[in-house]
Amino acid sequence: MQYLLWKEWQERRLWLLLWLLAMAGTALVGKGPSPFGFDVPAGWTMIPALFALLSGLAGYGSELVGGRAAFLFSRPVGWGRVLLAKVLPGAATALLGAIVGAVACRFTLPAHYLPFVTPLSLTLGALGIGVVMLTVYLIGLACSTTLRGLAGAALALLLWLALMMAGAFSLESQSDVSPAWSFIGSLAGPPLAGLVLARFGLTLAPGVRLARFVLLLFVPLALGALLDLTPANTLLNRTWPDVLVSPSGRYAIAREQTKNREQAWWVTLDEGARLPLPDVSGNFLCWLPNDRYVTAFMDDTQQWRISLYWYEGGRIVRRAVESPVAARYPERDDFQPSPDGRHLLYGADTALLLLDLTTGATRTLAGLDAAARERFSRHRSPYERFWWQDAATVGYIDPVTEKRAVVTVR
Amino acid sequence: MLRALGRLLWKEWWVGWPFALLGAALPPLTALLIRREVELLEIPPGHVTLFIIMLGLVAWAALQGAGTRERRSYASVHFPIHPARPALVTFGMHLLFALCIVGGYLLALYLLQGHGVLGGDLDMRTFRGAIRALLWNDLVRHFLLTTLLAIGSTYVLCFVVGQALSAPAGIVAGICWVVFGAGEALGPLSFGWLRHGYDVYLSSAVPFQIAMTGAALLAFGLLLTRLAFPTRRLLACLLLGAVAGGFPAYNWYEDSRIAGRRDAMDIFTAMESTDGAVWLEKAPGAHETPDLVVLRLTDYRRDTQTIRPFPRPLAPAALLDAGVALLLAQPRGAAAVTLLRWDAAADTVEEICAISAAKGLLASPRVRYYDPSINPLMHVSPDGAHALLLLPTWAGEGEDLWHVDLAGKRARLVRPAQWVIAETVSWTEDAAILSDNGEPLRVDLRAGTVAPLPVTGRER
Repeated sequence: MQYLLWKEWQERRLWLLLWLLAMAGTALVGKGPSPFGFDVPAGWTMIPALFALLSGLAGYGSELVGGRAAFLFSRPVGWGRVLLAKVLPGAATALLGAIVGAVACRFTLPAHYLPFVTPLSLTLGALGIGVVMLTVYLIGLACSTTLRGLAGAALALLLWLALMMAGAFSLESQSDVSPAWSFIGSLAGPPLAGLVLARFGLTLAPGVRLARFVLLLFVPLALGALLDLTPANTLLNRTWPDVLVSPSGRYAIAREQTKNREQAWWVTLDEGARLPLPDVSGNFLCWLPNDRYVTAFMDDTQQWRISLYWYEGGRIVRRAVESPVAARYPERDDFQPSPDGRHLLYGADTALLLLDLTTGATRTLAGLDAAARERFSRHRSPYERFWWQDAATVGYIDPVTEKRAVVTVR
Repeated sequence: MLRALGRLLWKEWWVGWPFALLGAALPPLTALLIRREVELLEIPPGHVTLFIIMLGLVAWAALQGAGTRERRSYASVHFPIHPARPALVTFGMHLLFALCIVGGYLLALYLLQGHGVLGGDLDMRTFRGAIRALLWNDLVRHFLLTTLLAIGSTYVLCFVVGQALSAPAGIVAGICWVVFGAGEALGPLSFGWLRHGYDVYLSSAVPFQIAMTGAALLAFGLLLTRLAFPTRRLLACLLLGAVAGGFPAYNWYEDSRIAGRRDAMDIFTAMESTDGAVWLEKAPGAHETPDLVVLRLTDYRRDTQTIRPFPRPLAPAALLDAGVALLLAQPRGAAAVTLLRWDAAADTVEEICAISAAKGLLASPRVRYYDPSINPLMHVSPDGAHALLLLPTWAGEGEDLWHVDLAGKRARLVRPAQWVIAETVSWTEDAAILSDNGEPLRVDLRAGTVAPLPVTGRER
């Protein structure tokens, strides 16, 4: 075994050392293992991951040249030992790199982060990056069992990526199925193919090896796709509600989306109760500062229908608001509630409106004719700047004259 | 010698023309066969076909390159000529075939735009409207030039790498070149220029393409003189690598040097207070330098306007209804950002506290491109006593969440290095709740701790 390990070290020490160096280097600039727990920073980790991949891709390449595999297996060495000798250097480098990275991270971390760092969080962080590196290395090693040389292994890797994209991602793009099992199947492909080829395929012709490699990648992917098309798909696809808490922190709107359905609830946080909220699917929605909830949806006549909801006496009150001309999408900035919460200023498409929330009546405070409206972007209300001067007065900037105007509304 | 050369050319033509013919017939055939598929994926058929052709070209070039090396010993024994010549003839002839096939296909795509399967969305992006009227002649010239550069350099690269190393190496290099575009910064060399249809004009990437093509040809020359010499092969690869790595590295250095002098004020337009009565914007017409920006704060309720210059880098953090702006400033080279409070009524600027941060944070792209009118860096409580600040982290990825005690003038880190995808902050007496995406987070303002806020509740 030690001779096999020595051989591996001689053949791959350049990639392994570069991998180790990259792990330490990224940790020194603060982009190594997370010091705060089991989390792997995605961007900078690509650098050591690239060297881990190259270390793996260089794994079996030398065995596939000039009948060396046949020679190796003519010695009293089993395939398992050869495989172990290929895996061990990568596992050791991943482990060492994670430890070096965690230590480097601990000593270069600015002082204000230190209260959040514990031995457990450091260990979990090192474990996270170590697992990722080892996975990448094993994928590379599996690909190296197919075509000779580093480039051949890289080609096999690209083949796997292409197959994964064709399978998992096209399933996602062409149906409403989330390809969780297909993705797991794609990931399971390289280890399976690598294991089988390491046992049975090293002495075969390159074309045969490649064909078996593709077949072994395809089988788990196909199984995954089949599972995705069955109810098993829901096992891995949990939906999490999106929650929007009201400005006062007393209420929340929780929205849960499944494939063909959307359900929303009004949650009273202090009472711990929730009420189903109808007719809010696929709409624009936001909270107003006075804990009233605004939704809008476009009807068949391309008209925005605006609704206001609020909680009163243990039930939800809904008030529909007519929007005169609203071909554009309403935004949060289009609304300003009055200080007492009884009125709402609304920058509509061609006018500045005042809505009485108690009666539902609408009053136009200022407006533009069609010719004047043409001069402004159709994506926003021309009335961009308006405010409550006090409880009885509204101010706005006239879009045409750009002068400040004040209107008494009560 | 000419006779030998003529025979070699004849041989290559005789061997290669069926491939060239097949190559020319494949594009429309493939487009017809996969039309249904690409319609589902909403990809223009022309682009998919071109993509397949480019991959075919890559494989062909790499195999020809590797084959030249393998045939060298045979040629040197059987032909009474220098061993470089067969390789040169193979290279020249196949490059010509490649240019004919792909160039001809692109020309057909261009001529038949919008007509049947060959029509891609080139016409949608680049060949219409004012551009078409104004730059018709230039456009055709540029299109053909960039096409020739793209195909020629892809072929040369794959051929050289295939010849120097192996066929799989040439294919991998070519796939990375075409599919990943080695970063779209490389411009027309990548597939991206056609996919997005934006880079038909001569751009800053052209010198790099020309250098890359030249380096590849030089490397090819080096290889031709003595193909089997490992030193020459190494030199050829080093030359290619130096150009391929050197040019993007230089461009990156130049970009980062300029980027260090930029901040969020480059794209900042305006920011309004929650009641809509106060607006902060760059003073129109004011003299602006890379080190100085002039801001204008308008309080419409009081009908006042205050203008003041600030040193850069600067990032507006929040605007309060009372006519107060909170700004983040970071002198160049400082390892902390300073939170400034600009009271427009009194026209005073007060330093609230310094917050530890990475050097050059305010010039970093993540702060530089944020839009404070959509997702402000800072959320302030209604009473103005507390604020939550999100800054890009030093440790790993994500954002550091800081609690700023505006009254006590101090800041403390409450949650490091996590993505906080929350645009809404709700304030209670002793806590701030971040929500709007996934599970809400509750920040205890007294203890300085953060915990998820469960929102389940029993249904009524």
